[in-house]
Amino acid sequence: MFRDSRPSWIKGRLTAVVAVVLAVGCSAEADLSQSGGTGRSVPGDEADLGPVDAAQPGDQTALVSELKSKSGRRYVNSLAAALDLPAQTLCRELGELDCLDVHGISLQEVEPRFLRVQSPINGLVTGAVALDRIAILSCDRHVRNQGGPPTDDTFQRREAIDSWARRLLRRDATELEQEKLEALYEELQGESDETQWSTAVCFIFATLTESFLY
Amino acid sequence: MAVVSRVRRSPDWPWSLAWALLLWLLASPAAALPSGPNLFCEFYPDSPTCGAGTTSCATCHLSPPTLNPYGIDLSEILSPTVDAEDYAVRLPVALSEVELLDSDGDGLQNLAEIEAGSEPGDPASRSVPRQAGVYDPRFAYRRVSLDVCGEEVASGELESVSAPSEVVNKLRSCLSSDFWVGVDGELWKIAFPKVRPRVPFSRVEGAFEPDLNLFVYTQTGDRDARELLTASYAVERDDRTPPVYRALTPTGPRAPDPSTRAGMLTTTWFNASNTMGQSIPRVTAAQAYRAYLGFDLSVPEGLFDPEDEEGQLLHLVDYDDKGVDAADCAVCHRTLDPLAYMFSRYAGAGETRVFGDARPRPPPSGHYAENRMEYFVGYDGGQGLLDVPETGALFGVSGYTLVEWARAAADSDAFARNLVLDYWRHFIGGEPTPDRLGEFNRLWRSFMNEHRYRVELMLEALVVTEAYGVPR
Repeated sequence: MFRDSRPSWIKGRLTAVVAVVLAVGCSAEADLSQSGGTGRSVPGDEADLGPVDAAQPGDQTALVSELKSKSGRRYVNSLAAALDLPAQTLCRELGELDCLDVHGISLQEVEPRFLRVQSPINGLVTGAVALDRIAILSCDRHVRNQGGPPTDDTFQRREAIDSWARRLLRRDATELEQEKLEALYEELQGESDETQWSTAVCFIFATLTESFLY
Repeated sequence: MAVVSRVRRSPDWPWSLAWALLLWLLASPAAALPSGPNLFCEFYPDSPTCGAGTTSCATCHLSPPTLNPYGIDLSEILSPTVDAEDYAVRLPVALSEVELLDSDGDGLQNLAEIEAGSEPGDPASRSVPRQAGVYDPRFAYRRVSLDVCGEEVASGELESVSAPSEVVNKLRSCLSSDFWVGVDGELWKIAFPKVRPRVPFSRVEGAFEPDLNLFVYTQTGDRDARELLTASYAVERDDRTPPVYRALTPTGPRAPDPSTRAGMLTTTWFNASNTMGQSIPRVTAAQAYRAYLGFDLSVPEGLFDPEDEEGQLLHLVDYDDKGVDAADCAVCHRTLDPLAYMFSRYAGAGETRVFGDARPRPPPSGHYAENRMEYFVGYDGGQGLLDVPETGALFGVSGYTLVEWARAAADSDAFARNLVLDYWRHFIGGEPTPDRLGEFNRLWRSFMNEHRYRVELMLEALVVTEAYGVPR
């Protein structure tokens, strides 16, 4: 049987983490559209959502067509650099196989020589699953190796959230992200230790749409 | 230089009569003719879609022969067309007459769409006025880092970036990265659709790597990218990180004659994997046409009627008894077969095994053999194979050997446009949109002139274009 290599704490708290991913992810996608894919925050983030939604249909099309997926290798390289981990050992399925090799196709890292695929595959349903596995294993390893930033009080947690956002997205966290991740901290209190919250924050930023589109 | 064919009917050319009779009997609305895209661009030379001297079939067709709304409007004026000459005379008139119509009902007149580079017969193709944008060096710098170095910028690296020159410097530093030039790197991926590597075939696994090596070599450093089609050398790879690619001239009794080499077109893998056991290597020719000039005959694109030196249309001969001269087939085979003739003296895969020891052993795949057609008589055609010419046509002009064809093709607009398009797709993320066609056309023309066919110089220009560096 396959071994489930997800950290044990996340199995019980998956609903909470997913809820935060969805909440933060939606806001981050809006940010991405306003920052041209650089991930930089735009002043008045939420107030500016209206004009973006009201943009011309042609502009929306252009926006989508010019964003590119990082694909497997770019994503793994970027994540490895952000988490100070060697790319070759970032994520290993069953402790042995490089996730990039195992999930190559689902990460759009097409291996055409073997499949006679001549153009990239888009929109595979397993893509997000593979990204999630790489992100959760990498964040868990990073936090185990180095520990998370201090999170004793609200100020430290705000700093910690910004620190993770800068590390993974090259920007500060938005107010909405701060709010949702602070709420996640409260929810995890008493059921898990603080490194698990750090891993969750890392995982959430590492799996935002913003983190694999550019 | 783009050579656009001129359609002139030879009085004694039986095909013209067949065409005329067929069209007359069917009384069909103006059927698609190969010269249509060329005539369109002669009439609208400044249309952004005519950058390479010809436009796509999609201008008038949903999928040939089915017409789109613009094609239908034209056909109603053209019908009945009796022959190619009549078509050539009347098409410009019809183009004028439908200019003020909005054939596809997208709110834009046909002429406005043609001038803007969108398709007049496709309502989904609309040239949307581009929003004014400002080139953002940080945005472009980050993209270069991911596109060419394969990694996110380091924390704080963007803060000091303020000018396009820094984007170019970043590009230069990334162009030697393993991610770009390494095994399974980005240049390999750009080459895959041309080389079409296939495994598992354990006996030939890795056989395609010399092709990938040659591709990378010609696309890097201060090298002329036309050597893709003109190189008489091979390239070996020293697997360091990143690898080092070196040109070499094969030696030994089984080494190919350098004077018969035409870069990627005469490699062992290209001929083995495409020609297989065909006497007239049509698959090989079609792949060469698609991969290096951007014309996909299966669509069909890039159809030209070959002419002799006096400008008379050449007669299509069914040398291998495959029925290619049937009217419906000849539409494409008039272009395809003359391309295939040029490959007919280059060995394919496994020919030694097929013919055994009863006949002289054919040379290895990709090698030139003047008497190659003799092997196929009785196997893949009759005595007619012995009459297959060694020369073929490019853009309607005939008389080229494969080596000559490769040189002419490498100098063509189509080659430059197609190669730059490969990189455009990689860097920008898709086909040039109508509002970017002007920028794209300027880029591939610069590639031919200012950049002297150096890919890395072209890329330096690409990363400072609005298309690349203006965030939307």
